[in-house]
Amino acid sequence: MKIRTLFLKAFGPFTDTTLDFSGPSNLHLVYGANEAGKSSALRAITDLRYGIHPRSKDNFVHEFKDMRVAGCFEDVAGRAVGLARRKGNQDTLTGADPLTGMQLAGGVVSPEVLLALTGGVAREQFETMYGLDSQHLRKGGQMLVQGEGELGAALFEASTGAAGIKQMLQTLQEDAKKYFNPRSKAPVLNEALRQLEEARQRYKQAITRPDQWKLFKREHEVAEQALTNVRRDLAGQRRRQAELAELRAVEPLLQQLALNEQGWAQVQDHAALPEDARELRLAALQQQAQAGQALLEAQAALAECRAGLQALRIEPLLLTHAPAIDRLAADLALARRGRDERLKLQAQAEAEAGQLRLQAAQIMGAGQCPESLEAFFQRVPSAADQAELARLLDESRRLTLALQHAQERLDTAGRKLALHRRELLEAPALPLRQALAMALAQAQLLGDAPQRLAGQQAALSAEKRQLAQALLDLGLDSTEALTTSRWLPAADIDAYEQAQRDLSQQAALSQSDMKKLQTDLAVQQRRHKSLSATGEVVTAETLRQARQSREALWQELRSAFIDTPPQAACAAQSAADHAAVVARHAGGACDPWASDSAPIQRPAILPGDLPNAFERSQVQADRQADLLREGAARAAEMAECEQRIAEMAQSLAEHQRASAAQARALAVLDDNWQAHLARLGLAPGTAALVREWQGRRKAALECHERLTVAAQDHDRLGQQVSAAAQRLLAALDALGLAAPDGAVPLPALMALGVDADRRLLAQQAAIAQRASDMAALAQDIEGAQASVAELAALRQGCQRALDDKARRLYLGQEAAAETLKARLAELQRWAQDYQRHVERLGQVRALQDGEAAALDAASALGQLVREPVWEHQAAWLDALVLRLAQTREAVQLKAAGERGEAEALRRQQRAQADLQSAAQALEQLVAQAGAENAGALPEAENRAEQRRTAATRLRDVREQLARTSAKDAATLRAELAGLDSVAIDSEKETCAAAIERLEAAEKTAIDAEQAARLALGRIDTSDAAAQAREEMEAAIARYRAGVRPWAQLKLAQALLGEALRRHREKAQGPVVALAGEYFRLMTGGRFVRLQVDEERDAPVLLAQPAQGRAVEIAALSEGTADQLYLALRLAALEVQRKPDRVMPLVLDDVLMTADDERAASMFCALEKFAAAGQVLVFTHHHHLLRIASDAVAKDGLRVHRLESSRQRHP
Amino acid sequence: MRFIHTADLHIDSPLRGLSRYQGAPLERLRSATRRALERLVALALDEQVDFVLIAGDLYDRDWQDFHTGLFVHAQLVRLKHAGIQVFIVQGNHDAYSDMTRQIPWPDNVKVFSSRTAETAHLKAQGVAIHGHSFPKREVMEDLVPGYPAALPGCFNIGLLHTSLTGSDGHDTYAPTTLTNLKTKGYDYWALGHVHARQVVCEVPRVVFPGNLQGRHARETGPKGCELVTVEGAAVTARFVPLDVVRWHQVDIDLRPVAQLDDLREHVVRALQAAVADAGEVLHAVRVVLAGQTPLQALEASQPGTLEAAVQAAAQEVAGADVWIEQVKLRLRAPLDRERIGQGAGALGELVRWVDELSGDAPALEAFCREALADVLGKGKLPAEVQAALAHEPSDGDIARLDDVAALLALVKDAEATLLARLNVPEEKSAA
Repeated sequence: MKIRTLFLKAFGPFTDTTLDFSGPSNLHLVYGANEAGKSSALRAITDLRYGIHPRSKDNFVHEFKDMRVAGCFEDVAGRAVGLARRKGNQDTLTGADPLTGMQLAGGVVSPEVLLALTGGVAREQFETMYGLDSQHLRKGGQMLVQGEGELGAALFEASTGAAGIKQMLQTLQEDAKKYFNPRSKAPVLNEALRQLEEARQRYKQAITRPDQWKLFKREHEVAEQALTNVRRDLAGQRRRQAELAELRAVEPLLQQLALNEQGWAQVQDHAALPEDARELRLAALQQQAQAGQALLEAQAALAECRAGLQALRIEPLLLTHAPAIDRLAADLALARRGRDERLKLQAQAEAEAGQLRLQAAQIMGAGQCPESLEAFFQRVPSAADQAELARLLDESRRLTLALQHAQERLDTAGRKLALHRRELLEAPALPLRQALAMALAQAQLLGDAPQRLAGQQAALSAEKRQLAQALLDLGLDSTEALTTSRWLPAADIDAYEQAQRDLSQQAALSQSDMKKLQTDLAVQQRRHKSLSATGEVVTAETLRQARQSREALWQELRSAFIDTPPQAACAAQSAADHAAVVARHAGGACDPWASDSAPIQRPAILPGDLPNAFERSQVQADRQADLLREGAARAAEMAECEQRIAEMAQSLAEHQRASAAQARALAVLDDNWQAHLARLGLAPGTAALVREWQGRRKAALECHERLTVAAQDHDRLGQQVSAAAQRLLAALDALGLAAPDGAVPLPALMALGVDADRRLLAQQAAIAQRASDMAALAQDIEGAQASVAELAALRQGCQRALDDKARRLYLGQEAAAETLKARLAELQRWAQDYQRHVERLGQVRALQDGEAAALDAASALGQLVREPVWEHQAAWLDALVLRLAQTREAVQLKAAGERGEAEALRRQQRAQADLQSAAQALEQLVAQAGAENAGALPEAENRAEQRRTAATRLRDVREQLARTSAKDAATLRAELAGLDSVAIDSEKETCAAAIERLEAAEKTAIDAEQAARLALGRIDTSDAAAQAREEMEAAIARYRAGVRPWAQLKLAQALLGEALRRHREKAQGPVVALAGEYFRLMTGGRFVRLQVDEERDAPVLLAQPAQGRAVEIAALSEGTADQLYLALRLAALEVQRKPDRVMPLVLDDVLMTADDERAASMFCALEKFAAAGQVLVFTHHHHLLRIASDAVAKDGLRVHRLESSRQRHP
Repeated sequence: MRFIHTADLHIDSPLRGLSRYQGAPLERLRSATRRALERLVALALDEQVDFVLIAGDLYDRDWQDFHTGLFVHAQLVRLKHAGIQVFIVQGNHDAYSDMTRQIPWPDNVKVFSSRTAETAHLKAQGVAIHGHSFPKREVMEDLVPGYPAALPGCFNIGLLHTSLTGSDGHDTYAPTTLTNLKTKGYDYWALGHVHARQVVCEVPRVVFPGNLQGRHARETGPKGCELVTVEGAAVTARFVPLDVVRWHQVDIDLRPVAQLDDLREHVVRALQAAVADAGEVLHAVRVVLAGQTPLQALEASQPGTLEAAVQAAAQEVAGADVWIEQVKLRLRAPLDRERIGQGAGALGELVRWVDELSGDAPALEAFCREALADVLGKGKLPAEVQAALAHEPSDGDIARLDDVAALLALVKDAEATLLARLNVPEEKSAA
């Protein structure tokens, strides 16, 4: 459905804005400056059909919930359908009033209306197919150029609105190659195949066969057994060698053992004392002496300490309150020092107060005195007050100056306005000026029209001459004959030529066969004659016929003379006569009436002749039989010859019939051919001639087409020139300017018009400037008056505030600013003096408070220490401090004494313990020695030493023996029995030799076993084969995963290729022709049509210029390629157009890159397209309005202007 | 008394369908069936079980590689050193006649005869184990009637490889019924053959423990063994997962998903839910994306996009190793083909031509054969893939050139690719 009215109720920047697309015009140009909401209006058109986007950007004025757009559409039957759309999730489309766009309650939209609204296409398809902006136009043009005009791709792109079909084909191919490429290793499938093969090889190498494992196993077992045997023998030899070495070593030890055992037996009864018994005894005696001396010294020190402690004197009460005494002493000392300072400060403060009171009285004047200094200085302005005062002073100065300036501006503007009013100007009516400008612009658009007219006329004449010559060459008498003649496809000519060739060949073949047949027939006829010339030729057939004749005559004879009465015999006789005649006539060769199928018919024979006839027939039959017997071979040859002649004659007849038929067919073919040529309006002739003729016809047609186009262009230009001249004359007349009489060339009229327009423009500019100046002056005066009033009021307020401040500073009203500032500085200085005075008084009070507090503390301390305070409190306190120091010293001495006492006690106890320990040690030694007292201990110690030495020697020998052999002495003595050292050494040498031999054998066996073990170990529980198998599965999985996407891409590529081909075949004719027409309009006739070059691998588009050879698309300029793309799109849409799918074509600034001429041409093309469909062109280029108005008929275009947001919301 | 019941170990059979990709934990995947057996042995040692029952299909087939037998032998020796006996019946995959290579079993292993049913009597534990190995792969008769009668006073166990009354995805071998099993009076039937764990009956306890390690995407969920404790007449059993790679199928409905970024969140959530509380196994996940979604256009435009997105999302799953085995797409495009086909333009031409192909099987085959011959032509596919295709359903990942339905689906996908790349819009409901 096309849209009649768009109601922008609440959408983007629009509120209750209406765009009216109704009326006869289908081409609408919607102009809007930047920020006018052009893009929003574009979106509204789509959103109305398909719904407002969930995240719409057009909510910057209206909330989502308030967004509304409505429209009045026109259905197939021409009825108005009102629809409204709101932002929401469901049921957002409702019926609406077609006139106002107001939503109707309960206006549910039927599916039929919904389908008609969207034309059966989805939003994006609508935007792609029916929408086009400058970027897409440029891209489409570029793709056409890059695709070198490949027809299939171009048509497909035009039909779908897509771009880059060839690139898509290539991309599909490249994407598929990422999965599989026969000439690469990297793609997924190739890589997976390689991995699979590698894993397969690894798997084959990794698997182990059972017999291989068994062999290795058996070899390892044998080697292991050999090694075990060698090791067993070696161990035996080594064991014996060790035994012999052991016996050889223990032999002297056993002898020493016997000696030591004897020595031990002698001393083992002595008392055993510790090895250090002597040292223990001597140490105990020494300890006993030292402990006695220490005991005496400790007892003396203890007595001395106790005496010192008893002499000490301590006052506990002073110690308890020692911190208070120390603090009071410090405070009192501080108070004594501060008293002098306080007196001095007090005197200074009194002097300062007097001075300040005097100054205050001076300021207050009139004999006034301040109640107090504090009250006086409280009125001194604070920092904020001072800042406020400074601001007020500045403000007052600024206002004064501003007031002066405003007054001056007011006076100046008033003077200027009065002057302008005295010098008012008048201008011609605006419509007349606009008419002149419009006429001029239209004339200028024609450019160098006279020159072009002359050029066109010359070209026209040349084309006419060329066409006349072409017609002469073609043998045609008029261009109508040329244009009405139709193109005969080359295939038809080829078919005719082929058919003619086939028929001629068939005729030639027939003639050749006939000649051959005739030659053969002549041979056979000569042969027949030769056979006949030899004599009568009798065959079995002639014999049979003769016999038949004889039998027939016999029957007749019998019926006439034997079986019938005499009168009947006459008849029979006549019959017989006749038979005789016949027989004579036949001459005996054959019966001419005889045949196999028909009964013998012959003339009736008179009964009287029958006997003779019968006799002759009998003779004839007998003669035939005789001749047949004699010339059977010749008869057979004759029969064969006749048979051949008959067959050849028949064949010859058939060939003649066929030849005649071929001649007729050839004649029919030629007749048809000529008739076909006549129907097509082509000159009669052979195929070659027709081809040549058609070539010339094509050139003539092209010439005719060029001529037609040139003539149309010439007429059009002439009409445009004439119309432009008329418009200029009318405009000049209307302005009352001197218009020339008679026919004046357009350039002269344009010069007049330009001059007039320039003058009018200058006049208009001066008037406009004057009006603008006066308006500006009036505005200035008004503004200056308002400023003066406002500034005066402000200045008055400011002065009142300043007066308040002056009163506070003890000054009169309207005090000068300098006075105010001086007074302020003065008061600030005094205030600083007053502040110092206050601080000094505070110091005096603090010192007084400190002295009083110290005295109060002394009284309180006296109560604490329970002593009367002396009158002279300081002396009392000094004495108290002295006593406290003495008490503290006594406390320290007491602590030292107590530590000494404890130390002396510890020393006394230690000495007593040492005495007791020494006595116990001596008692123990005596007991061990079994002596009576300590004096006998030295002797006992000597005996014990002897016993210890014997035991040590015996133990050493035993240990040495144990280290040498694990066996006990008795066993060793038994083993040594019967052996001497010589025998032992001899056996040892034998063992060493055996060991050396076995060690070599062991080494060999170890190597063999290790080799066998390693070999077997390599065939262990390895999972290499299993892993390789898994890798195979992984490669297979990877391969399988890649097959489907590859197949999908390959099929997509194939599908697209086939779709291009099919669509090209279907759409080539109508779309190319229509697009050629659009292209002609868009290029202003520079190109007259589009052609298809089908002689290449893939058919391509060519653009035929008005003159010259057709050019390839790749040779077109950017702008022309864009135009071609648009032409194809328009043609495709027009071809696809259906009554139920009339959707508006929405173009967004597609002309922004076109120059004026090209834009005008494109508007012409759009006007043609809009004849059967709606076109909405959005632009923000103002100059396009003029171009469109000029290019399109008045009722063919409607212009809409979108107000900017500033205009809508001033 | 404690014992382990396991079956269908299929040692050294490879995991199918897992393609290696960059950064995948390959070590976790390697020899998964072996690792599972090692974990089974470790469990037996840790739990100090009395014996282990293997109910058939210890091997996947006759060894191609001797290492397979050596590895199993080594594991059985570990059990032997711990004094644990092993009782085995051979199943259809490792039937007696099919196993041409042998290594002597360790002496703690008892393989039941394939000629007749036997009984192993463990007097110390008071257990009688009855078993009968498969003499050949196809055993179509019921072996249960030949099993000995229950020994009085013993805990009787029947060890049997059987399909029972039949099971989806498993060939029918040694069929029998629960009634037949009950008539034997055994206390426990240790069954094998069905790869999904199934407790057929509680009294007597009849159990398929499932296989020890899932090997492809149809063997989902935890895999392991039954750890059975018998105290007097009381039988308690616990399933112990032992798999090192666990297979899952995760279905994700893409209807609410409109953008690729949203897909990531959905996939991570679905995968996280699927692999939660699963220990330290490697999860091999088949993701099925289904439903009508605008993402179908994206996938059609760039095949493989969704799979890559799912792979990326899988890397974000916390606390588990996830391996995306395959991403299957069952998406429906929001495109209205019928409406496009009604158009007079090139797109309508394209859609109508595809519809023509749909009704002309020879033309469809010829078209596909010409376009796809490089990979799907005769003799072009790897032999392993060809062999697998012969046994697969027609809706697999590779279409056969003689399978009209599969070719048609492929052509429809290709058409969707084209429409998507041509920016043909999706059908959207108006806001």
